[in-house]
Formats: sequence, structure tokens, C-alpha cells
Amino acid sequence: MISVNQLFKHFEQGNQKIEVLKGVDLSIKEGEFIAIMGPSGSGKSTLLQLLGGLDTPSSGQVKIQGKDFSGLTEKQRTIVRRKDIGFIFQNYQLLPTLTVEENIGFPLHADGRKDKNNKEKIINIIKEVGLEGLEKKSPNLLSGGQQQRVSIARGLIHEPKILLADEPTGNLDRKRAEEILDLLSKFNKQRKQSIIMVTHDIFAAGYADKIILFKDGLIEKEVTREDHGYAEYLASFLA
Amino acid sequence: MLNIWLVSWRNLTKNKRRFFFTLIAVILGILLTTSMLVANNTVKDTFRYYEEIYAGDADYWILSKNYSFSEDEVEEIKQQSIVSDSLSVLDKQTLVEIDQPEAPAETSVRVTGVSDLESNLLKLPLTKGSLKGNGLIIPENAAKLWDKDIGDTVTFKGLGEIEVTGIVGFTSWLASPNNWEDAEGRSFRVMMDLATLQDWTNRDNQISYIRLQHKDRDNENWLSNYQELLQGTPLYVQPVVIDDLRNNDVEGLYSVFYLVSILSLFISGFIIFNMIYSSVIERKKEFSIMKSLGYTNFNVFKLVFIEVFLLSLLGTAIALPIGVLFADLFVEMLLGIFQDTMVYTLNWKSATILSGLIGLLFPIIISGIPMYIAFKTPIIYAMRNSNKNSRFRVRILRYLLGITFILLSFVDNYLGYIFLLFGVVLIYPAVIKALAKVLAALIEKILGYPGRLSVSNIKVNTNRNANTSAMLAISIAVVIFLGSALESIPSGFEKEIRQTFGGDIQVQFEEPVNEETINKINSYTEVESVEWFRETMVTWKTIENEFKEFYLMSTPSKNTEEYQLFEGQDNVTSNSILLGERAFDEWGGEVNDSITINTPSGTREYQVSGKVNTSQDGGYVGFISENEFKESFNWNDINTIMISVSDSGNPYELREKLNSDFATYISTITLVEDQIESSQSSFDGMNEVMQFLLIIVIALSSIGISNTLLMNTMERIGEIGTIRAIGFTTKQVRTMIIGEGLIVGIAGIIMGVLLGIFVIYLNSISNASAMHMPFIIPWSNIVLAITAGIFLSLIASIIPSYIAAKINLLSALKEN
Amino acid sequence: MTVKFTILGFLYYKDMHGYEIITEFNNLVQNQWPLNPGQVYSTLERLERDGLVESLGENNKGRIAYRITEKGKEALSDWITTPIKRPLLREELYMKFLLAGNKQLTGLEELINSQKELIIKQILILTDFKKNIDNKNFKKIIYGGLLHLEADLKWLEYIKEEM
Repeated sequence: MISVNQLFKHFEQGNQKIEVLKGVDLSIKEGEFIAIMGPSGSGKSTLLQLLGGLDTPSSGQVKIQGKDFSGLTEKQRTIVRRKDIGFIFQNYQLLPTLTVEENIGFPLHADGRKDKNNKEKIINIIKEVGLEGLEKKSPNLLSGGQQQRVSIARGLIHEPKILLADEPTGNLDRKRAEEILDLLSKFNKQRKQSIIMVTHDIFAAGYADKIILFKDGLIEKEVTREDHGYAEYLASFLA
Repeated sequence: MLNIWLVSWRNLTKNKRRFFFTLIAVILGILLTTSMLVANNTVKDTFRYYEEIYAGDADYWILSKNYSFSEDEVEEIKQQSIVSDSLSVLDKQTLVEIDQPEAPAETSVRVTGVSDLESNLLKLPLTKGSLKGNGLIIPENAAKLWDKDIGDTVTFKGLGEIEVTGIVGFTSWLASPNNWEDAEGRSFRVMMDLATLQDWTNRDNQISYIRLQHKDRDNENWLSNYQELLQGTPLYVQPVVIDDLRNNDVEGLYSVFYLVSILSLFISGFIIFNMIYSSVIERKKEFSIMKSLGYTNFNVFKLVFIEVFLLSLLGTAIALPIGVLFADLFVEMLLGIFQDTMVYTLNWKSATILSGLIGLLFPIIISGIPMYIAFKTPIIYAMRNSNKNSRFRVRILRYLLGITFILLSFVDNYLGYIFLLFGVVLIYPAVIKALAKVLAALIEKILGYPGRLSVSNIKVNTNRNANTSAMLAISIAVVIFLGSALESIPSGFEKEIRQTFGGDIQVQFEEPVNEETINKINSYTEVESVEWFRETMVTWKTIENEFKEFYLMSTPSKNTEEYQLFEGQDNVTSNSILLGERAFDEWGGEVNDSITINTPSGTREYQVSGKVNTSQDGGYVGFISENEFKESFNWNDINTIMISVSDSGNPYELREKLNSDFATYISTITLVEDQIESSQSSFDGMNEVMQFLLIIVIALSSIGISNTLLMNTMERIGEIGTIRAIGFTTKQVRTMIIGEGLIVGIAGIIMGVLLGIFVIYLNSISNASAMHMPFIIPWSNIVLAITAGIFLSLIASIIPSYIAAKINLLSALKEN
Repeated sequence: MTVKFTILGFLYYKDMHGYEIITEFNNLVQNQWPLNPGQVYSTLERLERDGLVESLGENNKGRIAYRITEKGKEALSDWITTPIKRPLLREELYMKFLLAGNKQLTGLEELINSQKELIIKQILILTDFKKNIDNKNFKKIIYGGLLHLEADLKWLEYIKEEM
């Protein structure tokens, strides 16, 4: 589904070259729910950005369903994003000028195709994320949890193969975070969508099938629930 | 103290692009104001200067109803102790031998002999050679066309040859054709020593007129003294008057100068307002925190005030010198329309000081509202949300006030337009919201989904977008209004000239024409018939008691439609006068009031019996009856004849014939076509100047649109990052921003066209307006405004759209 | 103590015999709270003795059904409305920390690490559990458990930082 091969990324800052990713290899299967954890600056967010084609690697490949992302033009990458990738952001990134339903419908409209099913899709997903009655509201009037629901609905409306979530619970309290995670986990199960989530929140990571631990631009370890010493390892890593 | 200046400077320049655009707006606004004011002063000065050097230091002149008179007749007058200086002048029409391929067979020239070439009563603007050489003085035009320089010899047919010793710049004394085509209808003019000319022409002691300078210059009694003295002789006196209205019809130009400077200030004001307002609103939280930390309201006010002051100081400092330079270029281009050898001195000081003051104060005044907002920001602002209810009330109040103002625009006064302006600005937010709704379907149809986003985005900063669109609307309205003004002139002017030209050809003779001449001309196959009228230059007084000068003309010898010189009144009784439109306006009185005129037979009062349309001297003339000339002035000679050309006759061939047959007698031959052409070309010139200025105004508006879109874009970087991340291509982002520009632009065009038509309508029903215009809708200008408006808003959107599309996705996503 | 009131709680809705009570209990707590069947029967007997429940006699399978009395309802109501007082500082973990910290006993770091491991394990267990059940009220219990774990984890991280 996704395979990452010897991924390098560096930034120039003045004369300094800052290496953020130092040769990451990774592969993610369909329907997997993956949490990426690691200290700040370890490169996990950069990896997510490269997976989403928001940025291009310095070298190496990101292949999505066998297609190499890095060889694509800006426009082609946008089209891949529009079709196959959904995003959820820590600060929701909703568009204040659009209503809740318009925000959710954005990825469907963006490719300019008019589809009779679009309306139905939007109504369905609003029901699924529990935002009935708020369709015409401006997102500014919603609570943080509700805004993140809008964001999830928007991330999933076009039924992407992969949902990329960057600290989706970072701005939420435990209760709302759990609700959002419940929702993600539900979609993961129902729609067999792969979810890749960068998080600091061990509770959030608890929902994932696999946890990828990042350190200094490299994958330190991948652990799954079935692995022996899973909790112990997490504990030591997070120490 | 230094600290607050530094803080303000940092705040001002924090947003570099916005600062740059705003600075450009300040600079362009002040630059245009400066150059318009400087151009205004300079053009006025220049015309006045040329009038003044024509008048020299003379106070009176004594002329004859005949071609010339003996200097002995005025010897006594010359010898009076009160006369400090005098200049005797003899004019002689002749032919000059020119060896140029383009020159016509006969090149006529008017030689003016003067008693003293260096006289203070003459003031020749020498550019080359000397006035002392006792040779020929020629103007630059002649030097160029004849290819003559100092030391070359010029031969006058049948008179003699003489060496060129001086070349002079433009002066009305020696106004000459600019090109050979022009030379068909009028003579070149040159100057030489009086004695030589008298000698050549065997007119010993004969002069055409004499100019006098008095010691007691302001004593008007001399006029009546001279009038008494010369009673019963062919001689008469006129005071020397400086009046540039006769030569230049440029009042309209001055209004355009003011209009352009007001408009450019207005547009740059909008841009400044938008920038300062946004910057203050963005920082309200900051201000409230500052206040909670001990800043007083005044401190915060001062902080913003200094920002605006720095902006205006920097902008003005840059704009003033460029403005003066620009004025220089502009005046050169402008005066070139009239006379390309005119020299001028930029009168920049007072205008620059005035513009400097405007430049410093204007942005501060414009920023009054934002500064007040900063001043009033409550301390607890940072902790609470704004009160929506009161905002709503303010909005309703604003709209009601706007509608009231628009209704007040029917007030028949200049105030009406000001009310209209403010009214439109006040209601504009409602207008742009409504228009955005109406246009939504169209924009979405053209631009697709990005267009729909543009429509929603317009609502984010309604006031800013509304201001920008209003600014564009007002510029477009002005373009359309001026278009209508220009269109109302040409639709009439050719017809008007033909109707009141008097025949098809006018010939002015140097000496009175006799029956023989008229018969001879009548016998040409091209000639249908010949008529004449009498004319003489007179001085007169406005109701403000100011001396002016124009041609007094008699009604034509046969006042038929073919020969009429004016329209609107059939005839004129003795003791009354009809004034051309411009003369009437300059005079300032009402019909049936009386006007004082210094006629060849003394000062007389005439009753103004009406205002008439005439193309003679652009309407700066008076008409009295033929009888009045004959009987009251004892003026029987005829100098000007009017020729009606037969249907098969070619007026140009006729002119050539006349030129060769009466070469040394004719001063000017004017074809109605010449007159039309010269009006057309000066009209075209004015039109060009106007269009040039309008382009600049429109360019300024486009900077306004760019600035607004840029601010809109910069404030939404986070959002743009998001829409890029979730599926918009860069092209779609660009389309979205261009869509916003289009909405602002199209709304501005729609409102501008409506507003422009409304202003034309208001003007057409107005009695107070200076420009009397019929209700003409200038369709071609409207089409131009619409195309230009759309093109302009597209151009203006391009930079912001590329900046938006270039935004780094990752840093944009971090913005929120 | 809790078993007594749990039984009263079940009987409040419906007359039941001991086996029924055990099945219902296991359902309610999703088998997360091991219950000794012997304790149920002995508690029932004690409740009957105190007059909080009354026996309805044996049925054909030899099972004795019980019914709650008015006195029993009162007691249940008292219990429900009485708040639970948790030990504020008297926790074993805190005591271990105090001892190790003050008395220079070694093993504090090991304690923190292993405690953290434990908490992470518990978080994973609860999260897993939460994913697999539908009972809304029980999800809320899990949520309560997660909140406690979050607090404990935060405390451990704080200790670790301070070391």
C-alpha cells in the first residue's frame, strides 16, 4: 500500500544543513492503523508530510500503491492527495468562510466533478461523525471536539485510501480525545482505511495496531500489540 | 522618545509587502498631486509669461483705422514728459525666397519693423545671436523650416536681402507656422529694424502703430485724455491688456488637473485607510494588553499616529522630487500641444510646499478612524469577544446615512457630488455583498469551485473589499463622466464651426480691400460669392472691473445662414452687443446689463443683449451691428472678406490662387477645414492628455486592488495552506484569488457605470454646473471602462495570486 | 461491603436467586471484577438475617429466590447517595516513593520504570477493551479508569523529570 524506501530529507538553514530524515524504510499495509511516536524533532511530522506529498524528499522514494510520489509534479501530487489521501490536523484547519457541510464537501468539489452522490455522501458522513443539526453553522462556532469531527469528516469524505493525522488529539482534553479516537478506530475498522497518526499521546497510540518509534530521523523500532514486551518497550522509549 | 519611534517603525514595516504597496500608494498619490499642482501653476504661468512678454512694459498703444500713419501725427504724444518710452511698429506682408523642397511656390511672411529691437516694450526671448546686429530676427520655427542660421541671408521678394542676426523662442510677436502645411494658411513672422523696412517699402516715417510706456502707470485718466486728443482722427488708443484667454482655451484643463489630483489622493487615501485599519484591527488585542500594562489611551494613539506619520513622511519625501520631475515631463508634453517651441520655467515651489503639507497631513486625516479605534480599544478587549449587537446597529446607521447622502446628491451644488461620494462609500458594503450574491452563479460558472470560494472569501473583509471596489467604481464613474464631457464637445464642434465660420474661406488683408479686389475674387470660377465683416481688437471690462481684450466683430454684410458668424440671436441692434459664450462667462454679468468697451471712438457702454454660440476665437468675441462700425466708429474699410466656394470649386486650389495673386496683401487665409482641423488637433491633444491622466488614475486603482487582495491573501495563509493540502492545485488557488479580484472589479465596474451615468444625469439637470452637458451616455467609454476594469482587476490579481500560489505549504499550515 | 449492596441493587429491580445474581453481575462488569460465588450465598444469608431481604422459598430446581424489603431499599438508597472517600495520599506507591527517596533505598528508578510499564499496559488493555465492547455505561467506566491512569502517568513523568 505504502512503501517508503531510504527516505532522506534535509533543510538548509543559513549555512547549516539540518538532516531531519536519515534513510527511513517503512511499509504500511491496507487497513493498518499506525501510530508514529517519538520525541519532538525526531522527524515524525516530516515523514507524515512526505507521505502526504506536502513536501518532496531530498532523496529516496515514497510509493503509494506502487506509484512513486517523488517523481510527480506539484499538480500531480495534488491530484493524488485529492484522491487517495485524507488529512487531519492538530488545529483542525477548517475554513472559516465555509459552513460545516461546505468544509466537509471541499475535497469532493475540489476536483471539479459534479456527482449526484456527493450530497448523499456528505449527509451520511455528518451522521456518522455525529454533527447532525450543525450543517449550516460556521466552524468558528463549534467546540474543539466538534471541529475535529468536521476535520475527520472532511478527511474521509472522498474515501481516501490513507488518512494522515497529525496530532489529532493534541488540542483536546482526554474525554474529547477519546471520542475522536473512537471515531477514527471505527472508520478504520469499517472502511478498511489505513490511518497513519503522529502523536505524543500514548492513549492515542493505544488505538493503533502498530506503533512506530522514531528517534533522530530514523525508525528506532516498530512494535505491535502481539509483540512480547510491547508495553515495557514503550515505557522505556517514552521515558 | 527614540524608543517609541523605533517601535512604530518596526510595527509599520513588520508586514513588508503590505508596507511596500501602501508606500507606493502614498507616493503615487502625492506624486500625482504634486505634479498636477506644479503643472497647473507652470502652465498658467507660462501662458501668462507669453502674454506679458507680448505686452512688454507698454501701457497704451495708438493704432490707426488705416493701414499706416505718419509718425509725425503722434510726435507730440511721444514728447510728453509722462511718456517714458515708446516703440513704433510697421507691419508689412511680403514674400520670402526659400530654397526648400517642401516649401510652397510662394512663402508669405509678415515683416515687422520696430524702432528698437532691444526695447523693453518688446522683450524678445533671444535664443541665439544678438539683437544688436541690425539684421533680421527670426523665430525658431522659421529658422528650422527655412534652414537658416545666424549669418545666413534671407531674400524678400521685391524688397531686399538681409542677414539673420538673431533667433528667438516662442513669442506672440513672431508666432509662425510649425510646419509647411500650416504655412499654407498663415505667414511666417520676422522682425527687423523699422528704418530699414520703411526704406525698403518706401514708407518714410510711416508706422502701423505705436506703443507707449507711461511713468504714471496706474492712472487710467490717460485713456480718456488720449481718446479726447485723438477724437476725429483715424487714430485711436487702446490700453495694453494682458489676457491669455483669447489665445488659449484651457480652463477645462485646469479643472482636469484638480480632478486628477483629488482623485489620486482619494484612491491613495483608500489604500492607506485599508492598510492602517487592518493593522489596527489586527493589533487590538496587543493594544488592550499594552493598556493593561499601563499605557494610556493617548500612548496607544501616539504609537499609531507615529506609524502613520512615518509612512507619510517617507512617502512624501520620495514623492515630491519625483512629482516635480514628472510635472516637468508632463508640462512639456502639454505645452507641445499648443506650441512646441514654448519654453517654460517650472513653478514648483508653492505647489511642492502645498503638496508636501497635503502629503504629511492627508494620511493622518485618513487614518483618523483607525487611530480612534486604537485609542478607544478597551482594556478588557483581550478577554472578551466583540459585541455583535452594537456592530449591527452601527451598520444600520451607516446604511441609513449612506442612503440619505445619496438622496442629498440632488442638491444642485458641488456639495451634491460630495454627498454622493460619501453616500456611495457608506452603502458600499451592502452593495458588494448583494453583488457578490448576484455574481456568485456567474463567477462559479466561469471559475468553477474556486470561484465559489472567492465569493465566500469576499465576505471575510467586507469593508476592505467594499472600499476597494468603491474606489474603483468612483474612478470608473469619473472616466465615464469625462468621456461624456469629451463626447458632448466633438458631436457639436464640427457642425458649430461650419455654421458660424462665415463662408468657407476667410481672408484677412493687410490693407483695406477695394471693390476691384472683391470683384476680382468674385470672378474666380471657384467662388460662389464674397461677403465681409469688420473687426477690430478692443479692450473691455469685466463686471469685476478687470481689463480684457477681444475681437469686436460686426455682423456680416449679408447675414444669411451661409455667412452667419454666430447662432442663437438673429441680429443685434445699435448700442447693444452679443457676447460669445466664453466672453460672456468671463464678463460675469447678466443679459441686459451693460458692458464697458474701449472702441476706436472712445469708451462706450453697450447693453449685452445675449449670449451666442460662435466658433470665432473660440467664443471669446463680441458682435455689434455693421452700422455701429460704420457710423459710430467711422470705420468704413474692409479688411476681412468671407468667400463662399462654389459646389465644384476646390477651396485648396482657391487658396493657392489667392496666395499667388495677392501674395503681399493677404495676412491670413483660413479655410473652414483648417479651423476644424486645428480644433480637432487641439481637442485630440487634450483628449490624449486626459486619457494619459486617466490611465494613471486607473493604474493607481489597480495598485489599490492589488494591495487589498494581498492583505486578504496574507491574512489567510493558513487557510490557503489547508486548501492546498486537501486538494487544491496551485492553479486553483490562483483562480480563487483572481476570482476575488474579479468580484471586487466587476462590482466596481457595475457600480461605477451606474454612478457615472447618474453623475452625467445630475450634471445635465443641474443649473449650477460649470460644464453644461447634455445627457449623453458615452457608450464607447463605458465599453472601455468595462474592458479596462476587468483587465485591470485581472492584472491586479496576478501578483497576489502568484504569491498565494507560491506559499510554502508547510509553513502555511503552521500559520493557524 | 460492595457485594452486599450490589446484591441489593440487583434485587431492587427483580426478585432473583443466587445463581441469577452471579450471572447478572458478571454481565454488568463485563467479567472484569472476579466474584466468589460462595460470597454471594453467604451475603444473601446475612442480608436475610438483618431483614434487608426476604426469602421467597425454593423453586423446583432447589434454588432460593429473594426479594428486597423496605428496610433493604432504604439501606440501598443510603449507600447510593453516600460519597466514596478515596485515600488522598495514603497509597502504597507513594509510600514506596517516600521510603526510597528519603531513606536512600535503591530501586526508585526501577520502580518508576516498572510502574510506567504497568500503566502503559493497563492503558493498552483498557483501550483494547473499550474497542471491543458496546455497553455505553461500561465505556464510561473505562474512561474513568483511563483518566486515573493519565493522572498516574503524569505523576510518574513528573517524578522522573525531577530526578
